[in-house]
Amino acid sequence: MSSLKRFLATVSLYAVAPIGVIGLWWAAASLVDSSFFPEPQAAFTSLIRAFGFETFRESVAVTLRTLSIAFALSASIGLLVGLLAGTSRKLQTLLSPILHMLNAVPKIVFFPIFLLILGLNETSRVVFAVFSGTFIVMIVVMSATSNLAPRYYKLIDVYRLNRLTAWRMVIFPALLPHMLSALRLCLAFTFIGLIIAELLSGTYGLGGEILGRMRLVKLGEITGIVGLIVMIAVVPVMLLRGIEEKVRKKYAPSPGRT
Amino acid sequence: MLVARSRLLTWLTQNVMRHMGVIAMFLVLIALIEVGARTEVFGAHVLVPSADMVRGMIDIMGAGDGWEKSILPTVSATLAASALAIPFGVMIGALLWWSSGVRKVCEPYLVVLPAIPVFALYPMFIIVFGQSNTALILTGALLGVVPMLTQTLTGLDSLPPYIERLGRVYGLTWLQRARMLFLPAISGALTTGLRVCTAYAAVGVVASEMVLSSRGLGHFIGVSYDRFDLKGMYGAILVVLLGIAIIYGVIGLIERQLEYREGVGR
Repeated sequence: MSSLKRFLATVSLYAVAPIGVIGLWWAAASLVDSSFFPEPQAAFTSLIRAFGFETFRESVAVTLRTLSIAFALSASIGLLVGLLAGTSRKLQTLLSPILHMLNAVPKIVFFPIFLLILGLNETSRVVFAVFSGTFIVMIVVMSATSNLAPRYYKLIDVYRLNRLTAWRMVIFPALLPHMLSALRLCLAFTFIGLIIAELLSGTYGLGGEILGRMRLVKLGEITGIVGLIVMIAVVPVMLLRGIEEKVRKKYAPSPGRT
Repeated sequence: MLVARSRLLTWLTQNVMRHMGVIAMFLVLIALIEVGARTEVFGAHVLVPSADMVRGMIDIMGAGDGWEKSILPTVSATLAASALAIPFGVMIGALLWWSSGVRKVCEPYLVVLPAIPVFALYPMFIIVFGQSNTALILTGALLGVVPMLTQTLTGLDSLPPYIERLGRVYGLTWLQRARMLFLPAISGALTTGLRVCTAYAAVGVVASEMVLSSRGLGHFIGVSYDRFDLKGMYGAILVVLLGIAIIYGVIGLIERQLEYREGVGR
């Protein structure tokens, strides 16, 4: 019973902010009463109506497919390079400033170069999304691996674990919370990169759908699509955050047992 | 004179050694660009020699037209977006710190705020406000407000409890406490927020200009791409990168000065 109560309390806590935002939106739209400011229900019905068209469903599928491919690529490249750089001092010294610099530059300005090299197709959008999301994984995983507490290495020495067992039983569980945190950021940045790429390409995915409707001044439908994009961005990131917290609780060392 | 020269030499050697990776990357990048532009690897329709890129940048920065139609509109929109994002970010951050109820409700969503693709709102702003600076500024401001908010909250969370007690002991009003105690105490976090906020606002403005605009550096990049004017496109990209580097450099310098002053104070 107490766990059910806790669950309900958490759910209601999570629900307050979206309900508040929708309430404010509805109140403001009713107050303004203009076709340039659609009410939430108008945006929602427009979105449902848009799902009736096959082209729109295809665009949603294109965005989700491209996001999945790009996320899988940027996460695996980022994890691999981050782990390699984190375990080698020399590689870290060489890569760390480069990765920090690449992470700080505004990647959007490079999109036309991707278009020139790869063409106006799905490949350029995937590669640009990977470019947007992979560096943050490399940085987080590299710094987590290189800053792993010495007690873990002592543990490996004491139990005389071989390399594989040490990685499986000590190092990987210790790195797991950081990896999940990196994956959460990676998903967010990859999706932002993808939406920018779709907006600039103009005809593909949900970004293309928004641009198409902008020319037709269909504000209700645009608002509905923006809501869908926000949902695609927020829900997986929140799920990853939940898993991250559970893993952190499971693997984080208890205070005083250092 | 000799001492000064040897100090300069030591400083140069230390910096070159420290940034060996970045210097090596730049050299490799320039070599790749040269090889790519002059051979069949990419060809002249994708890459231009690095000297042409720099020339393109100088052309934009040297021409009055380049300033008037490209650089100044982007800079002014970025400044306006930052001017909007900074006070809003600070105020929302302070509200979340001050009210535990509001924070409890908003906390689960703070972590997902950076994940929201704000750029998707730009077409909406264009319909509502027209193809004007307002749409650009709003997009830039929405992108910039998140780092400002999170940095303000981080700074206020890390305040030592004696700061608040000090305010109460001296009978300061809330405004006086904010001005005389809290703001100076979180100045480090605020400058970090300022740096990221301004850079994000600039990215938001340039990206929006690339999507749809009739002026600005983003528009220039888009138009140059459409016309296959690669020299102009790469030149404008270099101008944007230089601008972001200047933002990071100048605010980073202020940050270091503040850190130094805090150190001296201690």
